[in-house]
Amino acid sequence: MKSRKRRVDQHDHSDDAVARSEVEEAQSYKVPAAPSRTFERSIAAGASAAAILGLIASLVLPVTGTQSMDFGPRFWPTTVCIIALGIALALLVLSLIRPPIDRDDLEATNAQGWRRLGLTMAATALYIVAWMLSGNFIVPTLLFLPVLLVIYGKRSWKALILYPIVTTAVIYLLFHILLRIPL
Amino acid sequence: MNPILEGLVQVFDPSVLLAMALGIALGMLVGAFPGLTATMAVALASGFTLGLTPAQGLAVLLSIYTGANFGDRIPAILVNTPGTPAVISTTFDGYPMAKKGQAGKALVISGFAAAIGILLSMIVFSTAAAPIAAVALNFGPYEFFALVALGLTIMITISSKSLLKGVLAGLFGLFLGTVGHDPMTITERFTFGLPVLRDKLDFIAVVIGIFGIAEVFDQILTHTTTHLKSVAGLGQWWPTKKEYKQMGRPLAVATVVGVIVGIVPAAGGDIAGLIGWDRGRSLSKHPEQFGKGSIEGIVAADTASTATLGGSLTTTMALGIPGDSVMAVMLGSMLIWGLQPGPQLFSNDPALVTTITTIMVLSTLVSLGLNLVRIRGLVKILEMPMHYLWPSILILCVIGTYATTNDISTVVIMLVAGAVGVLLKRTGFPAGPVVLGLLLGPLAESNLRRAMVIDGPAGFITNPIAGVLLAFAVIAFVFTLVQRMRKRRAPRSERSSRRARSDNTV
Repeated sequence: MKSRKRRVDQHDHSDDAVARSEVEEAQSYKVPAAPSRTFERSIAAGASAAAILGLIASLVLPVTGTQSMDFGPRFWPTTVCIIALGIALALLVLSLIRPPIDRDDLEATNAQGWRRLGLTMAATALYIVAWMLSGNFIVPTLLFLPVLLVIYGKRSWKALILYPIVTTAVIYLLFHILLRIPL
Repeated sequence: MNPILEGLVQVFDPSVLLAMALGIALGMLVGAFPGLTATMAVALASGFTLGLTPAQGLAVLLSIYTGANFGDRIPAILVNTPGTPAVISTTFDGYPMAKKGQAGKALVISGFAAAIGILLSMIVFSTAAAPIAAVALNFGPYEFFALVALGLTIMITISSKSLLKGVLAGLFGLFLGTVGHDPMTITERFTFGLPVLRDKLDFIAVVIGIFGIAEVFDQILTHTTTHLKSVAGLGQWWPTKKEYKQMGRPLAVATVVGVIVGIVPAAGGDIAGLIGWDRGRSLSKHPEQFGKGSIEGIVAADTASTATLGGSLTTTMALGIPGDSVMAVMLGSMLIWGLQPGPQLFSNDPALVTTITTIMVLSTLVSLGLNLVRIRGLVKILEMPMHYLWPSILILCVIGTYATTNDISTVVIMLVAGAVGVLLKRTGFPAGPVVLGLLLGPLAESNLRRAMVIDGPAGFITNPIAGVLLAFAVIAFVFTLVQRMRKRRAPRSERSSRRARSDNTV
């Protein structure tokens, strides 16, 4: 990659020689996520459904006879869900009549990213199950880390052997031995 | 023993000093990596500090907070990427200065500005925290509910692109706060018979999930090959005498901005930095230089963003309302150590003001010293490959969460929170109100229910402080709503360039 080198004039300063700095423009290939009407409507509908579920769950909460029915255990979650339902319905109406908000603070996703994320979540879930069943931290961790690196496209011996061993050892020494957290 | 002396003795214990050193190192490292935030680091460290004394724990967490406020400037200046959101405004003049071959000078000036901002704001904390707490001792259930409502409202107005989504996020957090036992009776709510949910949702696990795991998941989801190249040459390191003199006016202006913004619950360095930069430009003799590598621009932005620390600490410690998201996590940790932030904190432990002030001052001075060392390999730190960073953070989050309860089901909570967090992020719901709602929900609920039993809704009128706080909340919300509606009525030419596409890029 070619770089453009530029001599920079330096201020008069007794300690410094003229500095040359390589200046390369940062190039980023980040693509912002696109706004979408359909997506916003789905979000609003989902939020409304969640608020309704929460409201139903709140209304069926068991209360004993001695608790005040006005301001008892149901009062707060019911109030919160009623307000949430109103807001979610307002969001739904706005999603139907107004253009969607831009999402340029988020980066766009891609198929490869979803695959990576799905595999990461699955691997992490299996790791937790393995840890729970074996009661052992070291072996599941030594297997988990190289699996993640394979998911991220790395196949070198440093990635598959050195990194997992060093990381597991450091964590074990630091937390189990030094901080006495039973792993 | 005199409280001041007692506070100093606590800090100068070797174990506390060691804890501080670790916190600073971790904070600077975390701050320097874009994508890792101080909130994430404090949340992770919270899990590991459970077995420490309050002084040791505070030393770790506060030093991470301070260290991160120095480390995050490095990528902002060298790579035009803020290490944390608090230094977005540093990029306006820091990176242009670096491109002119003055990266070293920008780093030094930025370091001095950050240090002075923190130190001046700690004067505010050390003088105002105890008196504010004394006033708040008279707060009743109406006032506390109104304070929570104000804090949540401001968090929503600041952190949300969509106000309605922000409100929904806050309400979601409040609902999550109801999981477990009812605060006033022993009724179980929404536990589904699961033991891990009986004693409410583990706050640290949820925070690590929403801020740590969700961020990693989002990066895994969106990562593309980038050719980010940092400025390699640092150039001259120390400013000239004339350049030091230029720092005076923006320093003064920005400190005032930062302290005021910091006191406002939920408002943090990102807001203060932007306001400070803007105020610095409007009061400068050379406003045309702002955005092109102006020393005044860097000073105004960095001083304002760090001067919020003292104000945030004041609100958190004196009122029990977190000043920003880092304080929200710290508040959760303090509860575990047996410290109850709020009006009674300083009356129960008067030495705490001195302890906290001394920790902040020492960690600031050490962080500044480290910042001034010209590290040759500085830029190399930023080039750590993501495929090593992601598993490292993931495993640290797992261990950190496990450490809070030694129960692996808490890790499951954390992972579920992470999945929810990435869903929230992709759908435009801010995480801040969720976390604040979860933390303050029980406080709001118990005080509101008590208030309703005492005097009903009329109590908000007969208790003027509560009424005023609620009025502020309403005004802040309406003001923000009106501002955004005005922006929406921007000229058609601006809006047509943002016409929605109906593709499935989510």
